[in-house]
Amino acid sequence: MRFRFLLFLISSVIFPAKCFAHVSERALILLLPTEFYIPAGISVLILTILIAYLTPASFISSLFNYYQIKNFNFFSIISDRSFEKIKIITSLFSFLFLMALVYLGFSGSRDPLANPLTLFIWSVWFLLMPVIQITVGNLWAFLNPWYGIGRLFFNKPKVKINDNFSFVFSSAGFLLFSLFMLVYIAPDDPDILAFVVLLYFTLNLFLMVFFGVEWLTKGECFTSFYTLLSKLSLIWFKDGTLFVGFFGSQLKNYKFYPPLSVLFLSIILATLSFDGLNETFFWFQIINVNPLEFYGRSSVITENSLGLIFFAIMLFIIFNLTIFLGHAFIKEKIIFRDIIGINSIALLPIALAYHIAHYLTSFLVDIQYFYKVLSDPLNLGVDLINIGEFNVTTSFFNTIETVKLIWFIQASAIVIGHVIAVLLAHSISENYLKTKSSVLISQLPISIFMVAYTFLGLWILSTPTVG
Amino acid sequence: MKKNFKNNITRRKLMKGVAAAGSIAAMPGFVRYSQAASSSPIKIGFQVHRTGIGAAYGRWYDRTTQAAVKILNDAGGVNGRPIEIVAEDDGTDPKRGAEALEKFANQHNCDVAFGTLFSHVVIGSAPRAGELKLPYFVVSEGHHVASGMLNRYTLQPGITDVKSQVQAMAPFVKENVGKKVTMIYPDFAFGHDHRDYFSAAFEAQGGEIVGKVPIPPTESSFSKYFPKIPRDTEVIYHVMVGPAVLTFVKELGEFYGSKSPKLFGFIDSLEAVDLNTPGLEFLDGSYFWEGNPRYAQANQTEHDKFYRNAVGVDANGASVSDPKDVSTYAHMFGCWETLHIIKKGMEESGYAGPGDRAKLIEAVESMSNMPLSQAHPQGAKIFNGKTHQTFGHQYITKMTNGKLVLAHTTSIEDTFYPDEVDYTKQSF
Repeated sequence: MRFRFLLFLISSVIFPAKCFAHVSERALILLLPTEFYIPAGISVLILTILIAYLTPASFISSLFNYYQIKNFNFFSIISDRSFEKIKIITSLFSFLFLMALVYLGFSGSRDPLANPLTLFIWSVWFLLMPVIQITVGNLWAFLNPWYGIGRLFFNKPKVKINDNFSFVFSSAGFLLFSLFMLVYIAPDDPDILAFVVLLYFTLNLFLMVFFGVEWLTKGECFTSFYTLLSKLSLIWFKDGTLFVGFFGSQLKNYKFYPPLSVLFLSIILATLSFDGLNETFFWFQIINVNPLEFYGRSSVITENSLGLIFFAIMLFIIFNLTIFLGHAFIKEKIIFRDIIGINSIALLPIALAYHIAHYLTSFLVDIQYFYKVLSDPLNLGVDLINIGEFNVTTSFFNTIETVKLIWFIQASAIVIGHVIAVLLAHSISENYLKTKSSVLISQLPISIFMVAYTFLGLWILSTPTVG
Repeated sequence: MKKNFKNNITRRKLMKGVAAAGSIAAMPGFVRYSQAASSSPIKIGFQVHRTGIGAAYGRWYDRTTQAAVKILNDAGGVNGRPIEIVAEDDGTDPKRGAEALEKFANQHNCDVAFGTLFSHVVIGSAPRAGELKLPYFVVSEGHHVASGMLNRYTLQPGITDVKSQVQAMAPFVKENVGKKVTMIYPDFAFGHDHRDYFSAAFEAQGGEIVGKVPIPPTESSFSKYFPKIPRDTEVIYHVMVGPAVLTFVKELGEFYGSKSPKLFGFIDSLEAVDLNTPGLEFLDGSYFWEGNPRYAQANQTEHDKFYRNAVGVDANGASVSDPKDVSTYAHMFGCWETLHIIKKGMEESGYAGPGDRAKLIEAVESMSNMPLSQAHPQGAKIFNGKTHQTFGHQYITKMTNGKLVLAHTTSIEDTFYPDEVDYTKQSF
């Protein structure tokens, strides 16, 4: 009876809900000796810096030598003009494909993991396109959905855009995109995504009316981003000739790049770093939210917006400062605004490293849903590619061996990205600095920055997170 | 939707087969379906955690839901009308949850909404369900339904609530595990409630709480807290959650070695986790609450067998297509059972369309005994129409050689507590 009475007392209070914070792969990562892995990763970077410092200038420079594939000229098979026509045609197909996806966004399954638009945009295009651009070159030039229309109808600009202004536009565009992706309450919702894609497509079409087709490379943030990435690709074409070289070889002999590219790249890197940082318990402590009682995106809109913008501003300031300090104490006369743009390109491999490290896990899961939707894109209950009963699995997050493998791939991406960045930064400075001693002094602050950023990347991969 | 279309094909095939085998037509469900084959579908809005912190549960809630709908549709749907699932992602967010309900009611013309797990989403959505006059069948285990804080349109008929679960544990722990308990819990509302309510219930049984060890929610290393556990502790009651839970178990194991007090916990800490993960061997011999035993037990019922098979879960609680993909077995049966209850409620009330929503709720409110069956594979239940909450057996399993073996099944009566609300007095 006494027990029943106590229960009665209990029942007079609102009883708690269950706490369903599920055990993710992070629980297994916390079992790994990451306190040893992180210094090991950073050591690799420091070793790279030392090699860059201790070897003669010609060594780093030789890494960025590129090679022409002789006896092969693309334009001997297909003329320059036909090549351009192909780009227009593939772009028009891409446009039709995008419109079909938008239509499916509005009309297909309401489940984002069964809707072709959501899956394609977030799990295929956004995740894979940067990786493709930086490896095999500017495929986006063929897939750009605006390009064909732009070339056919808006070839001549009414207003010319100054190169520097162009990065203001792309920066603003990417920042808005980041806020949509990281902060907005429902970027996965097929209806909302379809609307946003259509709006963004139309807006850029409209801007092409004034700025011509060159708006795409100058003001549209994804084309700007992808074009930059393709400048680091391992293979590329120039005047019909095929070249191969290490990431960034194309930039050999580049002495100048528009200064405000540093703003654009700071925003991109801030986005890709903040998407990760914003899930850590550390961030939840900063914004004073209990990570075990997280109420979803709608509860942290202000915090995450401010966090992202603050992170971008800090990154912009710190990076500018490292380049400024690096060049303040050398004997050669350097004008800061002439070299900040080209130096900022060293942020690209880091951005891509964070991109791969952060999105690898969601890619492994969502690509399975995409495979599933490929077989029934119109949500009609058909099985076009005969996949039968296909169940999406996430078991690779449940077993220590696979979690370890995934962690090593992520950590390697971070370390390799920074190693490339260090070498690239070194090589870039050799393009415009005359003496090895100037190069060494100029690289000191940025090298420290790279070490710190490697630590941040590896730490984000190892610390407790929400979800 | 996808599955339903496939089901239509199955049904068509079935109808062809009927000509050859008249005996199938004797199946009651089939007769009903064939009489109304052209009827429009019953649309069930599935508020699913597709993204956000609930996504891992959402995946299995979705699988269970699709399996249940297939079974129900193959047996003739609801009054001959096929069930169509309209899934909307709520992002495990209360604001989006409420928006999803609006879409169900105004955009998709759903008959009912169903399927929510996370309590904060239920609490954020339920007021909107009341405004929209949309029956909202939640599968969340929260006590918020029976506590009276929600409304007449919100029901939880397919899964028991945490209050009844915790109280039903106290007698077993005292009689079979130990009389001196130390509680280790995260230091916020969720942990405090476990601390207060379990200790009250346990002391009422004559047991003694000898220690209370709160852990800050952002903590990821625990060894420094273990010396606070009193030496005379016989049982450690742990309710740790979050990414550091495996670290907690590992460090507890390192601290005690083989001379540990007995352990009792809720499977929620390890739901969907492979129990053979290194470090978890320390849990061997420890007890867990399970809503539905993950491992097929020696006394497995034919209904559990049928349910497992339909959802595609093997005898170890993992996906048949990937034996390492462990399901959220302790909770997801709630989706299966709730869908069966919706069907029964609609058939008993003669539900024809949204105009009959009130009749549907009254029909469910009038339900009481739900016997162990294909519709209720987790076990028999007693539904309380006044509090909109179901009551049922709870399972306590013991980890033995890496598997959870049934040690005790509570009675349904063990889970009862006095009513705190009578929703039937609220107007529609």
